[in-house]
This record gives sequence, C-alpha cells and structure tokens, in this order.
Amino acid sequence: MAERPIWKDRKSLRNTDRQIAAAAEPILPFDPVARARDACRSMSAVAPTCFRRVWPLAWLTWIAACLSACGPKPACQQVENSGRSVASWAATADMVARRWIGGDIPTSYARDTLTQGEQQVRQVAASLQKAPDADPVALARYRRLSVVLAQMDQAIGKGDTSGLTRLAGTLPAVGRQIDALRMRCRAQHAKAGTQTP
Amino acid sequence: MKARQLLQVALGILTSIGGFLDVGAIATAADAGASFRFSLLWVVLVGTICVIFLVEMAGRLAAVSKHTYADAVRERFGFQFYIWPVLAEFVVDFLVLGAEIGGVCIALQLLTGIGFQWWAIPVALAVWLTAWLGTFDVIENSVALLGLVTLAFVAGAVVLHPPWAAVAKGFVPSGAPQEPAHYWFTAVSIMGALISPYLLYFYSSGAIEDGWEKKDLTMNRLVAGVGMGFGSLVQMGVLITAAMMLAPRGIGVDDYGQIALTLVGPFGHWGYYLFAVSLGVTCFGACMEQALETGFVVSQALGWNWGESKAPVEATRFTMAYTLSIAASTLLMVVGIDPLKLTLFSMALTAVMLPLVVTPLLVIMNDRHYLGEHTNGWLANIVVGAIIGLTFVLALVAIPLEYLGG
Repeated sequence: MAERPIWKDRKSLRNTDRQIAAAAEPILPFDPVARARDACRSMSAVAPTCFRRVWPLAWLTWIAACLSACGPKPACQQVENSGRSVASWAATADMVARRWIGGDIPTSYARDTLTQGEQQVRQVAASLQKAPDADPVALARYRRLSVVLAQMDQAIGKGDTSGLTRLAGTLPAVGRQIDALRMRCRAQHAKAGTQTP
Repeated sequence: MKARQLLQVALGILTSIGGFLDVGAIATAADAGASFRFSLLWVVLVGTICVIFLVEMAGRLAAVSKHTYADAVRERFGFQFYIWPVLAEFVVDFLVLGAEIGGVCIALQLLTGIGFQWWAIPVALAVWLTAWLGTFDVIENSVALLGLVTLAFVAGAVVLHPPWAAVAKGFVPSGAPQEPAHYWFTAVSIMGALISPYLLYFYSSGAIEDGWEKKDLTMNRLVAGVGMGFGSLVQMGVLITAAMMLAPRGIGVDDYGQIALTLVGPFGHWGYYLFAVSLGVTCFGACMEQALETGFVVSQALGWNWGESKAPVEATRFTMAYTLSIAASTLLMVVGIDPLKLTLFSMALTAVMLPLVVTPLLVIMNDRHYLGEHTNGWLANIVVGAIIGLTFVLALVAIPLEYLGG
C-alpha cells in the first residue's frame, strides 16, 4: 500500500515534465539565414535612420559598378590600358638581360622572369585579338615582343651572351613603339571624350 | 625607467621595425614608387600617423581595461553587432593570409628556382608547426628581429642617392600626376596595407598575454610611436628604391620578380638575395601573426579558451581555428592564384572594411566604463576618424575605377 502513492507521484511527475516540455519553445536547428537577418536588424537599430535607408542601395550600386568594370572594352582602350604593362615587360627583360650578363642575378630567376613576361605579353595579344576592332599594328608588335622574350629565354638557357645582347638591343625600340601606340590611343580616347556631349 | 623596462621598450621598438613590413607593404610601396615615383610618400606618412594612434589605442585598451579589442567590442555592442566586424575580418584575413603565404613561396622560388606553387604546402606546414610549438614572445620577437634585414631597403634608398628635394616634395599631398584611377587605387592599397585591422586584434591580445598594466602605458606609447614610426621608414625605403630603380626605366610592378630588381641596383648580387630573404622573413612573420589573430578573433568571439602561450591541449579550439585558417588560405596558392594580384586586391578590400573594424574601437576608447581617465583625447578621435573616413570613400571610388581601367 505504501508503494502506490510513490508510483502515483512519479506518474504525475512525468506528466508535469511532458506539459513543461510541450509549453516550452521548441529547440530549433541552427539557421544561418535567420541569424544573419537578426544581425542585420540589430545593425540597423544602431545606425541613423538616413544611413539605414541609403546603405543597402549604396552597396548594391557599388557592387554593380565593380561588376560592370569587369566587362569587355574596345580594342583601343585595351591597348591604352595594357600597353603600359607590355612596355614594362620589355624594359624588365632589358634590365634582366644586362644584370644576368653582369652576374648579378641567377639564371633560374632570369629565365623565370622572361618566361613570365612572354606569357603575359602573349595573353595581352590574345585578348586584344578577340576585340572586333583589333589594331593589327599593335597586335603585330605585341607578338614580335613575345617572340623576342622567348628567344632571350633560350639564349640564357644556352649561355649565349652575344645573342642575348643583340636581342636585348632591340627592346628599347619595341618599348618606344608600344608607347607611341598607347599615346595615339590615349589621344583618340580624349578626343572621343571631348566630342561626346 | 628601470633597466628591465628600457630593455622591453628597446625590444618592442626593434620588433615593431622588423615586423613592420609584410607582403602588402612591399607590394603596394613598390607599385607606388614604380608608377608614380615619390608622389605617394605622403600616403605612407598619413597611414603611419593613423596606425600609430590605432596601435597605441589597442595597447591602452588592453592595459587599462584588461580586455582584448575583440572582447571589448563583443561586450560593449553585443554578439549580434560583433558578428559583422568579425565576418569582415574573416574575409580579409583569409585573403591576406593567402597573400602572405604566397610571399614566402615567392621568396623560396627566388632562392631555389622551384615554382612558388610547390612551396605552398611546405610553407603552410612550417607556419602551423611554429604556431604549435612556439610561445607568443618567441614567435613575435624572433621573427621580428630577423625582419631587421628589411633595413636593406633603407640602406638601398640612401645608396641610390635619390633627389632629396623631390623626395621631400612627395610628402606634400598632391593629385595624380597621371592615371588618376591607378594613383588613388594605389593610395588606398597603401592605406589598407598600413592600417591592417589584424594588427589591432593581435596587439591587444599580445598585451593581455603579456599581462600589461597601467604602468606599461608609457612603454606602449613609445613602442607604438617610435617603433611604428621607424618601421614606416622601411616602407618608404621600398618606395624610394622602386622609384629610383624601376620608374626611370618604365618598369611597372606586374610580378614580384620585378620588385627583386630594386635591391639589385644598389647591392648587385647581394641585393637579389637580400630581397628574397627580406620578403621571406617578413611574410613568414606576418603569416604567423595573421593565423594566430584569426584564432584569437574566433576564440574571443565565441568565448573559447585562447592563448598562444598555452599548450595546444589547453586551448584546443583556438588551435583548431588557426589550423583551419592556415589550411584554407593555403588553397589560394595551391590553385595558383597570382600572389601579387591577390595582395593588391586584398589590401584595397581591407581599406573598404576599415570603418567597420575601427569605428567600434573609437566608441570604446571614449567610454569611461572601460578606460576611466585614460579615454581618447579629441586629437586622436579627429585624426583617426578623418583618415579612416577618407580612406573608405576613396576606396569606394577607386576600386571600380581601377578595374574599369583594366
């Protein structure tokens, strides 16, 4: 007889537990979207009202501007933009050749740099070729430069100092030609800019 | 000041100088010198003033309130606000750590001739192993003292006999001499490289680990002011050597290999190896700081046990955080992303994120609840607020314009 009330108590205890559990908020799984939304709200609460209204629009505009900047460009603008890099590789190759002959830099570095330059110039030429109004003169000069860089790499590989000196001697002229092309494109660009109402 | 304290200050200043450069500082300063000669020196000066104020604030906060920066932001603004600067810091950390690992890999490529991608995993393992085995002081002091090799850039700048009048003129803010989009993008990248938010988290965490107190405030001021001030001389040295060696020849910075030529001019054969060692040591030090800082930020955000001076078994989740961060950033190099492009992009992105990370610091530094009588003066508030605001606006304008220009 003494056991009965205890059993009854346990049973009622279990029922109470179930009621509490049912009444309590269900434990939800981690929801990153809801967390992010809450964080946005708390951020908004801190920010001033005018800022709160403007900032999503401002960010969207900025991201759109960044994305539109990555779009294709006319050939002349490409020459203007990439010409500096191409001329820079011509000047780099010239300096690398002189320093390698002077024994200031190791062969592996000289060859790596020339290979890198050759690849970069070739890439620029390839992207220029895709433009519908590609300038054949610029394209020919870029291709010529990439060939010279490849030949210089080979000359270093063979230890051909005189061949390297001869090839390096052609680089300043190539650089000047590319600069002239850039300047022409820049002038065209500026002229188009002034003509646009 | 006692002899021991003087020694601490001297060591702090030396490590600040040695640890000042990282991949971002080298790349952005070399690009600035090669493209615009001395005309961006003023940006280095302005950025240095700002970073001196910020580092001093982070140290003062730790010494007075016994809070790391991350702890203080979480406590003052709540976790739901704190998640934003942490997420911003996460993105930047991921990219910058990748760039720093790339810097070490490039240095090893220059020294051995083996392609940089092959070095990504060995470098990551070396960084991880050093973080696992080393204590905070050993890591900070040894790597930063080795970083004194970067003084070669200052020596190189002097050896090249730059036109000092033109150098002095470079400290006066000016507009773009040519290519305005690239000029302002480079200016913004320099600011992003100088005012790295990770410095604030790392410096305040280090101060807590070292048990700084109010009596260390003078040391903090000296280390921040003198150390960072002299450290920026190294960055100016990079800019001046690039302006003297690359700009007159029309060499731009499209590849790290081109930056190596800056020291070949003044030092010949040795210059090449000095550059490689400088790049490797500074980037390795920055990798350590960056990885540990990610561990600090995550652990402090989530209330985990943290501390570089603790054995990994005592702070397992902190150890896991920096391990995962190193592994994730290494992937950027393994897949062959161009380290220079990654560096310049991540520095510009850092500039965009700056207000999100620095504004809470300014609020806390003016809160008497945390700082008591050591709150900010008006000068510090105005200088930091103005520089960060201006950098942010410039970054918003310059980044799309730079990519529009190709």
